Amino acid sequence: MVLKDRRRVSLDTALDAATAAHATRRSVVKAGAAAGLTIAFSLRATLAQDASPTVETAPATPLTEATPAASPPATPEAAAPASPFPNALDAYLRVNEDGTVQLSTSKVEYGQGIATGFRQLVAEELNLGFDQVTIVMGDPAVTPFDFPTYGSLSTQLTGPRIRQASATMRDWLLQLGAESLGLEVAGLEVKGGAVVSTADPSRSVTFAALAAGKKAERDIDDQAKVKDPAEFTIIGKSIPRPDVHEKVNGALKYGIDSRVDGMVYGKVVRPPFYGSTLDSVDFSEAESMPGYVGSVHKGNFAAIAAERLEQAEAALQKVKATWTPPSHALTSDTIFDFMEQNPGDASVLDNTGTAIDPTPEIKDLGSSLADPISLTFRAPYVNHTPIEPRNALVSVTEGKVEVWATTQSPYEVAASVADAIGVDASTVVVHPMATGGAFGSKILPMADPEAAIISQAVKRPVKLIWRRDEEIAHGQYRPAMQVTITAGVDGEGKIEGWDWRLLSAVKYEPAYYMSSFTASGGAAADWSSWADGVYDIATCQTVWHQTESPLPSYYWRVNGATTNTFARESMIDVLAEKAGQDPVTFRQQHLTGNPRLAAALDAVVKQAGWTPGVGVTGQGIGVAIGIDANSMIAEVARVEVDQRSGKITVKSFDVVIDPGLAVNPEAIAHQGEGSVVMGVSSSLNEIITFDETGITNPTFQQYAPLTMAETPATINVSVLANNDQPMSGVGEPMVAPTTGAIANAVYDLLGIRLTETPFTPDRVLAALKEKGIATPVASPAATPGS
Amino acid sequence: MALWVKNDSHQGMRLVLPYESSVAYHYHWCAAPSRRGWGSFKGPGIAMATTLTINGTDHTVDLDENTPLLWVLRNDLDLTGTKFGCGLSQCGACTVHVDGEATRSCVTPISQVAGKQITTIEGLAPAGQLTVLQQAWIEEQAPQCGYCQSGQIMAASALLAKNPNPSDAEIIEAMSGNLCRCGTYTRIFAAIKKAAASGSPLEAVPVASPEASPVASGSGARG
Repeated sequence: MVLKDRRRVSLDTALDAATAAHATRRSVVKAGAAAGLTIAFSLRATLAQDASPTVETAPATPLTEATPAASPPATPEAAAPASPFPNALDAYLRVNEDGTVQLSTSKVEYGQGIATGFRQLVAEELNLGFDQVTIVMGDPAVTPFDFPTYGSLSTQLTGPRIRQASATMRDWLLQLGAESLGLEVAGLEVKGGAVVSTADPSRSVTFAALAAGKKAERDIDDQAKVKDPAEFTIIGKSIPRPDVHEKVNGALKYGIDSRVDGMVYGKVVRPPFYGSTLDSVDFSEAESMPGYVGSVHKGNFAAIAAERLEQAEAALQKVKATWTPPSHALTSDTIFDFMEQNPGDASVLDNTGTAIDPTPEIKDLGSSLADPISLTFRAPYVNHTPIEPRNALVSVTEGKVEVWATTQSPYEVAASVADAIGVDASTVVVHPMATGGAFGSKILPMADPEAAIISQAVKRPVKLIWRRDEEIAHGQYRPAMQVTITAGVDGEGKIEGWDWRLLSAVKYEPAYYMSSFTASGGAAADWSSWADGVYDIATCQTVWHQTESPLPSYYWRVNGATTNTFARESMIDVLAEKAGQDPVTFRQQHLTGNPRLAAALDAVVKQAGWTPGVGVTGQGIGVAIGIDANSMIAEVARVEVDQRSGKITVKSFDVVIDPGLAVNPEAIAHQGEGSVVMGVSSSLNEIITFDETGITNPTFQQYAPLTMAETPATINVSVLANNDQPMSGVGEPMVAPTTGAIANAVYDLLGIRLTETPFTPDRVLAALKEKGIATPVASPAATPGS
Repeated sequence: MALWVKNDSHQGMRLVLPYESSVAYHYHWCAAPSRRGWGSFKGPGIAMATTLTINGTDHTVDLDENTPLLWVLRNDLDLTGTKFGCGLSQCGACTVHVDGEATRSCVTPISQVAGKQITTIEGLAPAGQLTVLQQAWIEEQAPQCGYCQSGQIMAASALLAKNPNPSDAEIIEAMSGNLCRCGTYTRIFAAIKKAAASGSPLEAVPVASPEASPVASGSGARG
């Protein structure tokens, strides 16, 4: 795969995957190898919408009953559209009987704010009030096929389709209005849910009256004119997210809250370690436990069910299973040595980010530099740990399967359940429930097919809830990564040569109990994380090794960009000092090709009130920048370090994001605040530890996400709206620079260069000792909140 | 090649956790009990009728006395606002009030709370109303996914009931046992400050309409 544009690689890869699914007619495909990406798409999902524009879709108006978004056409091979998305206007928008307009989207809301932002997009083009637009999300029975909710793609990719659909809807309503009123379209406007004569506002007809009984029967018109940003009245407004209401009174029903009559509770017999083979399983003692309902054993999968959850847990303890472990003996302490010693094949990307095929000889860029600096950066496996663990409720009956799901991928849930129990995906009904956090962990359905297999076996609806230790020890992981950068600066203070060697542990051979769980990949290489995607550097070489991994890697909020950006931004500071420049001036001199990013950097420095200096200034302030999901990000961190304990306290973060067209600045800022917390958490606290017996820290006490006490006292996010630009992603990009900003701030304070996350007190003390700063300096532990 | 066989003898790493003294149940698993996230259920005890007073209403359940309160709330009484997060009192998602004390229901056997006043998120305010604190939560737009927020609000309510005007440090101390993976801590902090400043943070008030909520500031400053 050619990485044409680093900033778009995720999108391109996803499109490739969807197209491949389409072409191969396989329910699950593996694609996008260059980005280490594995995505599964169902045939039904892909074909449902676009293969045949004449396929009956949901009724335009009035909304009567939910009908499937579409059925597969008779000859799928005959249709090979470039886009996997439906194009029929009816699939997205309809006029309700009361004149409100309903948007349908297969994206899922879990706090990012897209349920609000999408409604704003529709309301803007149709001149409706925000509350005159309703939204239905993530229900494969009625919402048009879309990618899972991931990759910061919702606003970036689905947003423009919604805007264009809304403009098409407006033109259609104007046309109907012209016919109804006997006037020319040119003299009409849409206003308050009606088509109105501009000259004589008393002549009007409501959307409801116009649309009653009609279907749009048209495709989204790519030429329909969307509003000029100068005319916006709703886009760009910080409309409060209405969904927060049912999140403060316990009313919102998440997947874990689903229930049906007669349901029982399932538990899966877990292997001690990923890659283990189930040799034997004995349920006999479990069978005598209170509430025991039944068991199932298929290949590597074994599970039991009981009437009550706590009974299922107790019965599970009586199951005797024997496993053969995987042959490796890797631990979290030896994984990086293993990666260095077993780098495997290399891909070489040239300085435009394009994979060179066939791969040329790897150049020794460092030898051509007068005074090269080489630094190695590492980041370990980390886990997603949403507070709602994976869970599912599945009812398998003859001819019908129902799934109540907490997921980022409602379409994929149906496909994976169907695959697991050998039924047609068309018999699987997915009820999307609220999702209690995901961060990448709920893209691949896992609890759903598990519950389905148990339900099929015990002939009862089965609720399956992963314990926290299952979530941490049997989920997926941001891959362990190591980046070595060799570079120098010339006599004029410009970077000369930039040699990037990346090792990412992404090759995991599935030895799980179902073949469809190809939980490998994880995009260690990422959108624009390479230096040459951000800075002006004449000569770059990027060498990427995808190494074997004992754990399945997968997307973790902004993926490998966390590590790549940490390495890049740390090295930039090192080179700045070598050039005798402060970190901001040095960056600006290498940002002539990225004026928007340069502007974001300027803005964040002003916002932080920071006067940067050359090398160690003692201020404890550091900067890092980046481009992810097409958004421009600049962040400044302030830190304190207790030199006796080695504990880092992050005092504040200033963030500036240029997201292009900013739909809801307040929601974007909120994403920034959460991104900083997650970034600080992974920088300071997070590492999955494992030995030959399995993952050794599967509790929240041991694997400890950031608490309020450790959260920066101030997180100040500013949105630089750039409404002439396309909408870009905001859910993940602000995570990426946090680690580099913290590392640079620690250097600015003490002159120690931290190169491996998490930045634990032990590592800080070791760095201080190495630096010769052994005497405790009077720098008491920061008082939280002060 | 070693075989992993489930047995009782291998203890591995053990953590010293407050609840462990009550864990009479040793898992038949290669890993130590502390590695598993289910420390709360002590294993089968005596099945008996237990009367629980929840949100002012008595409920009699005929269950094993060791059953964690969390699962009775969620699975028997359909009070699903109280959430499961870890089962080890390490995340706070399951926080309820027992006689006014913030209590982790996931490690609380029902036998320990019979006859006590139990309040869940559903019982903070009458139907159609919210407390000033919950309203502040909306005004600050605190939740993202929202899953941990019931526990956060219960922890904050218990704090404010005892200490209506807490210092920043007191807020942070009271709230730092409640994890939020979306990272909404600065908003939560701001909501607590705002409610405390009102002078009557736990008073129930009619629900403001969603569209009328003021827009939060857009930056998450605290402290």
